[in-house]
Amino acid sequence: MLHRKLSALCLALALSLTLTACGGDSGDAEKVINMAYTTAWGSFNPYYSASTTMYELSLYDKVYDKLVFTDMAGAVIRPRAADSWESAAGGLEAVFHLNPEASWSDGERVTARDWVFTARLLADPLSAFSTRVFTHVLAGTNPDGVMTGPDAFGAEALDDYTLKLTFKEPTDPDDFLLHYNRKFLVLPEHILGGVAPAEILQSKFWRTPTGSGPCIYVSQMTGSEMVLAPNPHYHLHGGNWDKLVLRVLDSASRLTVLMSGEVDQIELGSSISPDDKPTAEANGLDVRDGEVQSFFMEVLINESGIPDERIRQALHYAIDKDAIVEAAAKDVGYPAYGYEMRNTDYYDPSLEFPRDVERAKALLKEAGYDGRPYTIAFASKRENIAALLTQQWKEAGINVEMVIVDVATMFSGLTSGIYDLGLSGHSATAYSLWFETEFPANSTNVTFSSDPVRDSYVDRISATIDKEEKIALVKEYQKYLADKTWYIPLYFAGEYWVKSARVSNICNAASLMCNDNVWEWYVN
Amino acid sequence: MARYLYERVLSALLTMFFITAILYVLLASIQGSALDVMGGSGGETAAEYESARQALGLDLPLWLRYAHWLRDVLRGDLGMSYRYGIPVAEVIGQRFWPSVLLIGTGVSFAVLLGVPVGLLAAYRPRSVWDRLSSFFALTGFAVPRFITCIAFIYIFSFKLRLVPATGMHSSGVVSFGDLVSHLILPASTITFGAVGYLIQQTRSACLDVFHEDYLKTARAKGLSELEVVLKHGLRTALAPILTQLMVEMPEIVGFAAIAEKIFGWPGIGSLMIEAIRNRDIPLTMGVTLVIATLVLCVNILLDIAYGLLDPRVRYR
Repeated sequence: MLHRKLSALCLALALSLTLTACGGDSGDAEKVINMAYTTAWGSFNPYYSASTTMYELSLYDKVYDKLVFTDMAGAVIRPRAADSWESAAGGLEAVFHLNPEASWSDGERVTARDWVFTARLLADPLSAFSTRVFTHVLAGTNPDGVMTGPDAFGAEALDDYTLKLTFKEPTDPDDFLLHYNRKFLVLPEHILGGVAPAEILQSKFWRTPTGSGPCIYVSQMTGSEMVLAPNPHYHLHGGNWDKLVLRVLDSASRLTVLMSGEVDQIELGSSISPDDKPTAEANGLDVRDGEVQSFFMEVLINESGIPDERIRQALHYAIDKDAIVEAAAKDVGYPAYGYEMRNTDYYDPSLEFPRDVERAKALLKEAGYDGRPYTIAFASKRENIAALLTQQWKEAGINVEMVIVDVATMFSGLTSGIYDLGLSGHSATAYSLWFETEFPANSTNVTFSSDPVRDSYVDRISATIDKEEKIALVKEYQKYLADKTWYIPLYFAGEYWVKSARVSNICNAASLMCNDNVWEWYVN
Repeated sequence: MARYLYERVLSALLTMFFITAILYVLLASIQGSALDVMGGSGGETAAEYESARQALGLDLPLWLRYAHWLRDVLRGDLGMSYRYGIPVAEVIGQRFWPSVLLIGTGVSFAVLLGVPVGLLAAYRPRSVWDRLSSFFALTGFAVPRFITCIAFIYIFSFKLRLVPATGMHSSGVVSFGDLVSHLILPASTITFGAVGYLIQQTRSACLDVFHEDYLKTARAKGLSELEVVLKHGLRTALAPILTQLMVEMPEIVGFAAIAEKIFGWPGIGSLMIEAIRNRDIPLTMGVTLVIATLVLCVNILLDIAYGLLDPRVRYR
């Protein structure tokens, strides 16, 4: 009796679970694009911290407008808030002609004064923002980007729709855009103009921002989900979606949720590993080979741990980069010997570091390497590359121990000297000095010690406007870096981009530059 | 009873103090700061880096940072999240109830399934039902939690298309049915993980009780079998079952964090994982404080429940 009653209870429970599972139809008439973020965004204030992540930059990009849209790792620059731009005064000025149709989401027009207001707010000595982004390159600022006098400040509205930036050194406008565009987001003077710069962080504006970007903020659950709608006042048009839902998901489940149809696209290019490509295709997903091979992988070297240049070179000579490419990037990668991509003018095919184990051994002997073990730190997803590297180094007689850590621990450990080597990936761009911006001159700089020759190269390249002269200088600098071996380039790789077949017109490559052509996205 | 409660609360407060102090030291000792984690896009100058460090108070000595945090907490202020730039209490407020819903549902179903199944297994030891339930229980705690989540998504969401795999609701849909359909998978994984222990514990506790003389007396008095087993047997066996649940609670909360992360459920568990990854100390501390308070409260409540279930237990 009891047995039967309890069995019936269990059966009822199981049935209720199953029946509930059939409920909750989520169909809707709206054209909704669901996008997954594998890392949560933080504050909605683009200048809250100097240390914004690429995920945050790509979110700001949707709500706040930028001067231009950069695609193909920066090889293509298209108008956005600025219709056109030119260099003036021998490279000391850049003039941007703004689109007169650009409007804030509340309907007000965006003018050049808004751009000047944003730059001044960043450079204001009393500004509470933790970053000044680019103001240190403008005239009228000190080396930290703080405005030294309002009259000499290098941002000026020539008229309602013409913005002039004046630089301290001659600067190619395209270089300026490739370097700073993704972080130069315009703020509304008509809303924030009345807020004291010292109290800007406390403004309620950052909770429900008014931007002039392609999307309007609708709602969010902090760090988990955000809903955006198209900005009806945005001056660029072409898409047909009604709602963009951003969700934070674990990277382990991203392919599965794409296949189940709950997510249409993954932020930052929506890439999958080469191994997952057949599965994605077999399940009806739209898979494309990366048009641009801009993912750059390198070995970071802590110079204080390995001060002898010959040992660093031996580490480089011991590496079989073809084998690394085969293991990590298959047919969408190529070995890297410098920092410039093949599709740029700065690429130098003569720059090579072929594997030469005997030469590595000779260098080690010459340097008096005593067999001390080095430590390489890396994130777990780089384990296959690290394993190959340690094997190759072992063949040359270099002992390297592997340590799996998270990215923050790796950088911190390299800076403090706990680890000798690290593995790091970056998104390369067409900007000639892109790699310098990855590791600026602060405590996160794990690769460079102070080197006057290097500083001189960087300054000269930055200030060179003539293209041919700049190309020659960059190639020379690449050779210098290769000789010094402060870090070891491993490979450039493209990615397999995957998305749901129900959405189209998405520039995946542009995502890697932290901008999306979201105003052109289309729900089929 | 009042004195007992007073002592329990006092001991809980002391425990909380030690938990927070140890955790603060551990968090501050982890390699890398919030700035190292957030520095993915590069480009900041040394002055900006230092300014950001000072703004977050990372330049202060560890003991002073903890003292400031403790002082603020005692004033009811959990601080500002490094990452989100808004009060920690506000972030937690948004993510708290989804977690309660998820863990509450998962544990409730684990109890509703585990106790009857364990009871039946004990009532008919070595029967087919007993063997089946043992197999189910073993599977429940042998399969890694992470694998359970991925497998559930693959089977129920991708292959069978029965329920959605991610989030708390569908885009633009606010309905109870939609919420339930999103809750099923993450809650089921919690149920699946917790039910095994409950089945085993219920079976074991009931087997002990079913051989007691007072059950024979109850039968001899002419009580129905259902009354004997449920009213006299199960009531006594519930005390060790509650103990097991209490022991399991921190593990369930930990597992819920994994489930929240994988299923994109917006709870405080996944928030804590992100907070640790981001080295967001105020947020991590805030979430820990909330979770620790909850676990300690549940423990106290379960302690009180002992007395109600088992007349032999008295509080002094």
